[in-house]
Amino acid sequence: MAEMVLPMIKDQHNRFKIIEHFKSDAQSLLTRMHANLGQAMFFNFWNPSGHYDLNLTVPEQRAVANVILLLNKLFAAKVKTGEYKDRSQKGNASCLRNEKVSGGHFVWTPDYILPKMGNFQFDFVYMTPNRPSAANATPEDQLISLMGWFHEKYERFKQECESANVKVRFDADAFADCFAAISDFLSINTLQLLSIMDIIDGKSLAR
Amino acid sequence: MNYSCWCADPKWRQKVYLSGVARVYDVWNIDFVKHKFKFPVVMEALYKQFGILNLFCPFRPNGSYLLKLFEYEERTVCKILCELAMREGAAFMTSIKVNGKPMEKMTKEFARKPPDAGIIELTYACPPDKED
Repeated sequence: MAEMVLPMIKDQHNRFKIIEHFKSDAQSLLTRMHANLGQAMFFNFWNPSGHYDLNLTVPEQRAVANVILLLNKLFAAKVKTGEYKDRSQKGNASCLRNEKVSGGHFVWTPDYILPKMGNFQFDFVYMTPNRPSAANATPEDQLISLMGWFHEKYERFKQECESANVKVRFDADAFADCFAAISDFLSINTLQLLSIMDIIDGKSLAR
Repeated sequence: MNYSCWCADPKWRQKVYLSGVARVYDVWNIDFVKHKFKFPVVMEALYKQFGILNLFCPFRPNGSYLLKLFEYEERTVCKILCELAMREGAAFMTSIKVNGKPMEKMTKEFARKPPDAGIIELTYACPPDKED
């Protein structure tokens, strides 16, 4: 039920509150949902930039693909009117890069229609709309506590592996997905972003 | 134990960068990431994923370039560099080679309309005292 409801929630940023109702089963529920929804689970409408590999036969993933194509179409229209500059890969006013469907390269055009099946892989670099400003910069203490949370998870994982004397690869992709899912709340500067990229390397929390 | 080897795959860092860069307010500094990724393979992957037009900063153009003129974004960067050279001084652009053939200096004609085929190699070096 939760899996069906989750993608339909209007206020997507609050969607994980549903999971809180299943306290004892939250872990298994999340794992199952991630297996079913894939990237659709972490899709951030307010900051959709990222690398995608979407299975077009899964309705939730297909919905994400359609949302991105719609955003791209709106962006291309604004490039044509001169509101935004064309920074596309192929001069087609697109924010999609390296787009492939079922392994085959193609060049996006505004009238492109998604096929019914196959995998849709692309990078989406969506820089212009909703730009943050220095005036609403995320307070330093909030950013440090966010970085501290990621850092603590990483350190705990390391300690657990060390005490069990096992070598397990840290799922850094999950860290990146997690960061992407909350990134729309941030308004940071470049150095702060680079510090976030350092957390998993075990470097100290740089300001 | 060497924990860093667990995270040798740099893709997650590119993912963090890609989602974080849209939330950065000092966009004129986003090219600093170039100093973060030291391995050429990783840099290549970053350029492929993010695009040279999004990583190139006209305020810090110094460097050596190998640009494919048949690619829209690389040709645009070439055009920006040529225009910079025309304004700041053609002497700042050196070691120019078009399709492997040396070119003595950047010309106005080339800068106005770079060819849309072939490869250009060049080095742009604006002395610090000439920078704005």
